[in-house]
Amino acid sequence: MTDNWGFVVVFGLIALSIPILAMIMAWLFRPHRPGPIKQSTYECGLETTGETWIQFRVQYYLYALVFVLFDVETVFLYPWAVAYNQLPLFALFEMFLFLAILALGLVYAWRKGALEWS
Amino acid sequence: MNPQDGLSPPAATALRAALDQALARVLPEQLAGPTADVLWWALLGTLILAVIQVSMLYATWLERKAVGRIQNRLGANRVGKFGLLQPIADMVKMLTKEDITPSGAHRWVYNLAPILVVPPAILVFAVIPVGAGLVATDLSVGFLFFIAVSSTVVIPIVMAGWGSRNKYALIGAMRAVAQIVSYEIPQVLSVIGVLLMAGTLSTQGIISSQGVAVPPYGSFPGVWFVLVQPVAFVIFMLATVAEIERSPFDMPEAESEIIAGYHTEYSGIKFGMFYLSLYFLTIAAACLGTILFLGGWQAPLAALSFIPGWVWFSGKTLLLVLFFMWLRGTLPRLRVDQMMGFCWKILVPLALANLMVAGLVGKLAKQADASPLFTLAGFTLANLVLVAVAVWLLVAWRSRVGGPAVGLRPPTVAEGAA
Amino acid sequence: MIEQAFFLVLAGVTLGAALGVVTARSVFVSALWLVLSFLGIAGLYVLLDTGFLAVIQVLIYVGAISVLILFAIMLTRNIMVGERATNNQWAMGLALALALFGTLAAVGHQADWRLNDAAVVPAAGGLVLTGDSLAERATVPGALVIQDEAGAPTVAASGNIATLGRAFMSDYLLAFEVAAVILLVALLGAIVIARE
Repeated sequence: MTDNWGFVVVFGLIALSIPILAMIMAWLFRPHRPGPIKQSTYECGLETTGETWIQFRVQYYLYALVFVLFDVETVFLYPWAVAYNQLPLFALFEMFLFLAILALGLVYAWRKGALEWS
Repeated sequence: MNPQDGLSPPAATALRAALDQALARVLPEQLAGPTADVLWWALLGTLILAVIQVSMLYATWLERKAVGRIQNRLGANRVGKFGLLQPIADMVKMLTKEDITPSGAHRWVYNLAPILVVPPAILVFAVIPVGAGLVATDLSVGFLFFIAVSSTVVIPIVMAGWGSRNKYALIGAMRAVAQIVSYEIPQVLSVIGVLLMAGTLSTQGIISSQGVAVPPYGSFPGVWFVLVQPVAFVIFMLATVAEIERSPFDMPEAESEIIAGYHTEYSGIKFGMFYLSLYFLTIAAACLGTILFLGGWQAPLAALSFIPGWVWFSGKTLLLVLFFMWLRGTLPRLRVDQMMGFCWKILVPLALANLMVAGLVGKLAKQADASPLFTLAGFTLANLVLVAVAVWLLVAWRSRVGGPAVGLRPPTVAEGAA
Repeated sequence: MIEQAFFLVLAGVTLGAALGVVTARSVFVSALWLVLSFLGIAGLYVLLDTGFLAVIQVLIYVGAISVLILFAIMLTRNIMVGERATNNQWAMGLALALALFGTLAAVGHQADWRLNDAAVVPAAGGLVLTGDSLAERATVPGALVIQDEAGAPTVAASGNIATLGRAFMSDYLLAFEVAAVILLVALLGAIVIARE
């Protein structure tokens, strides 16, 4: 392999050990006095009312959705960008077409209110 | 750092050679090579970790001082001279705080979230070069590695929100994730314009293309990308500030708005982990901005290249970090609807337009084999046109709508109300 | 040898996580196991020397699609934990899964997996691009030189992103643009459905 992924693995393990080490140190040093008030769910200092269910807000899902599609679009953009210096000028217009099709999608989402918060 | 590429500092090469020899004496042939590799990587990794840990601690100190000064006060100055021991005090405090776990929390998910939020923030430093031969691993997909790894931080955030079994934590987590995820798009789109000209995803290659060539990479266009694509730089900076959830984009963790968002139910060291991850990402984002737009470790003028690369790199990164802190101290927080509207309706179209303009001008410049000065002139002109058109469109939009272009309209007062 | 060990570990992680997906008690935890198996697959891509695919896997699957799945779960479920998904047909499911695995393994074992150079070289008469001679392709970083049937050295799929980019713009241009149309249709459809 020309890419050195071995370092990534080793470094990843080192990175993972940091929070674990911190947790262990904290566990050794901190007091432990649990109580029913302390451990109840926090809600501005009041008792929890009602079931813990949140209102279904489709906006969060729509943002994630539009994001997935644009993310896939950027995945197509990367190889094109890297090869750009070896491509003829025509390749730029081919990409314009690609981006235009997706910009159309953005415009549709905008007009249909998928990008609104309310 | 690869000792074979001839670019590493002599001390590192000598150390590696000594390590190889020591292991060759102790272990059989096949094991010595890989073991030497692993030990070398572990050493390198620990060194990087130490440097970024110290940087992060003093970034927190700097933040308190800088924001304090902007707000016309001194900032932390009690613990140690000028408050320099404050980060140590904070660390001790976090380690000794009682851990209050809400009774209904899902044990595994709740406890894994703070552990998993830190590794991505550290791992991205593997591809950050601080000098000509000083990069831990020069992956051919370096930039993409950075983006991919930093994007995985949303999973622990969702885990924290859900695992706490707290309505507000869950809502905070979803808002934070929606924000992080949305702003990734303009961030990446603005950088594609840079990648077009660099012709590589490797971080070292991108730096090389902005100045003096570093083999095996080229050096087109030979000027820092901030000069050639200032619009992309601005978009990238704004998107990055939103990505790392700093003010003015810190709605998900604003204390007065939603308690503390997704880390409401975490105390002591577990909260500390989220805080740690945020600061690591801030430094990493500043490093990335330096690499992509400010020429990385290369000096601005050939005459100044006697100053080591890592000094330049640190200086430029510090500048960007201070810029982030400046934004925090001066701008008011955006409302969440304004923030999302700004991302999708302003930044994304602008980034797409910038990409097309950069592509066109870049290709023409390359084919005409233009000198760096000529390329710069061409790009400046194109950018001015782009900015003029964008401003005109924004003004026209605002006047048509009769108020702020994005976000909910404020309620209009009825005419003739007493 | 070391690669073999890494492969076993990654395969174990991926399969174990997949098992976790189907046996977890709550849907949310299932989704988290799925994220782990995506990471395992990314590791396998690294072993296959396609770093680009590995990072794309992490970016898209872990960074985007997992988020979508988790949001869908969080928005449609009570966040009370402990709803065990009961399934009385798990024995039949297991049998079918094993049968499918056996079939795929047999087919995969018998197929000829040798790299075919014709698949990556632009077809004759197609768009001629710079750098397409064998000598130039062989110098591209990440190029893999193998021997074809005649025993002559030839360049197989170079794990080079630039090659992918050039292929998109020449041989596979139609597929590339159709991909954009597919994404557009997916976006439109999803918005229509989500707003219902």
